[in-house]
Amino acid sequence: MKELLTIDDISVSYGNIKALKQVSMHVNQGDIVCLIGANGSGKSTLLKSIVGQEPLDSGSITFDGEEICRVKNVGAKQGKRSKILTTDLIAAKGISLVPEGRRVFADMTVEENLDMGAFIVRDDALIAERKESMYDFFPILGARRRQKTRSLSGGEQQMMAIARALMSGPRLILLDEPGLGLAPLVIADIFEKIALINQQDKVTVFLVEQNARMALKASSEGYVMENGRIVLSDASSELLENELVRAAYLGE
Amino acid sequence: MLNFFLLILIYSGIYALMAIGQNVITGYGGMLSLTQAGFFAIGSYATAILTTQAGWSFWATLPVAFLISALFGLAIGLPTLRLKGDYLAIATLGFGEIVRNVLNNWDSLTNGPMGIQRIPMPVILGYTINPYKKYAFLVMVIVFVIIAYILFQRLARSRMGRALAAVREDEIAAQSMGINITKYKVYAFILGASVAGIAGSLQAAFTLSVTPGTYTFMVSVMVLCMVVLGGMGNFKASILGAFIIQFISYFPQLTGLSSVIPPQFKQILFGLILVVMMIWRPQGILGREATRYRKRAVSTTGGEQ
Repeated sequence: MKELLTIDDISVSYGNIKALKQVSMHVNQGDIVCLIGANGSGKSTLLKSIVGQEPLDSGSITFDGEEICRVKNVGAKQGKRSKILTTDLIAAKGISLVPEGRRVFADMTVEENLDMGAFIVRDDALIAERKESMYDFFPILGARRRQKTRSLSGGEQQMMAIARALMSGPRLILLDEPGLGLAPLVIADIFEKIALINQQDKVTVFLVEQNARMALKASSEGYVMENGRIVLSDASSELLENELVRAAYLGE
Repeated sequence: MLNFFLLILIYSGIYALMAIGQNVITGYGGMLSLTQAGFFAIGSYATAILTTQAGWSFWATLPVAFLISALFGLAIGLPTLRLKGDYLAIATLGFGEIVRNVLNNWDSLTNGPMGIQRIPMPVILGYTINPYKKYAFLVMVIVFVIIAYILFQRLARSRMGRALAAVREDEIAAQSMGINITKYKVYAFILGASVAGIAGSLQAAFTLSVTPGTYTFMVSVMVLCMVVLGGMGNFKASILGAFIIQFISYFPQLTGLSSVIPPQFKQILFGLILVVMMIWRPQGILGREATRYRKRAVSTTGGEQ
């Protein structure tokens, strides 16, 4: 299987604090890959560095055979000037981020949010078509298309954030804690949708979650992060059976 | 009396141009900038210097004022736009003061605090637009405001307007949508600066003399008040705000009460208006304009690609 996203030995620091330490991982095309870990283990930092919002101290990130982030002047003490692509250009390559806490444009309507998600798409007919298919896929968004996003519930906002990210027609979608602050039933609903997006639209999914059980059940490959390091990686079904994972993340 | 009324209208028009620029920066881009006075001064001095020393006509100086202000907008925008909120306000405030101090001290070019006098009146098709006969000048200013309004209104509905709306609401989300936030913020800054430069040219042509004392920090604050009072993100509201603030600031003279009401009164009144607005109508008199970016797409259902 083809590697769509390859993270090769990256380190990221905030001042003296090392947030990521020599992290390597890969996401195969067509898979759902999850990354689980506790608060502050570096999950969000990893996502931020994929979309070019945190400069790397070392290593590189490759998307579909093209390097999107790397360290300039390897070895020189200029560490922090590393980016080679900015966030907007990375988004244009086909990586779409659903940020932590949803970050919807609250004062815009659902429809305007979706239009905004298709900012890099220049074809109006294609945008209209994608919007319609989003309304079919998330009927609640179709019903609320003229409503201000502010008035939506948390689960609806999360669905809208996912729909918005899909509007640009990405090949890889990064989900940062899609279950954050939502009721278990709503989370189950959202994970179901994520699986459908993966199967029907052939979008590769990289999922970051604290809710380890949900994430592992939904994915095919899993990584476990602790204190900025990848400590375990395996097929998700194996991780669900793993003693350490069961003890630390599944509460058994 | 009528003459004085016309004078206020002309000043309102000139300030309305600046307010339109401020609205692009603050209302649409969400950046708190306090530098319109600087660009205003640059436009004024560009016109003053080129007409008096190089013998250019007023009309020829307009594009120069536009370009120089735009260039300064770029020069200020690039380094400062990584700042946000109060920090941006302080940095831009500094720029306005630097401009005024340079004008005050660069004697060989600007004649220092004495300023530049005897700026020739604008002539159009052989007709001199004499600022002392205010009607013609008022018409000219109104034409400028209308042109600026139409152009900026179009801009607000364009791709750039959408990008700025996204940037204002959430920078991180905007970036994730593939929007280059730095680019659009700098564009907004340049456009806001250049229209203030044009306002400066008009000011020079109206007063026929320029002195650094005109371009104080208070000008920037007034322009910001106009935008906030009218309603952020609404060009009509910015123009309305400009007229209201101008009439308030000339209120004592207009009503013949200037011997009773001290000049500081207007600053008290500005503060009072802002506080009252913040409490009862924080979105401004007219509020933000609901912009529909894609009217066509609403009725489209499916369709081929």
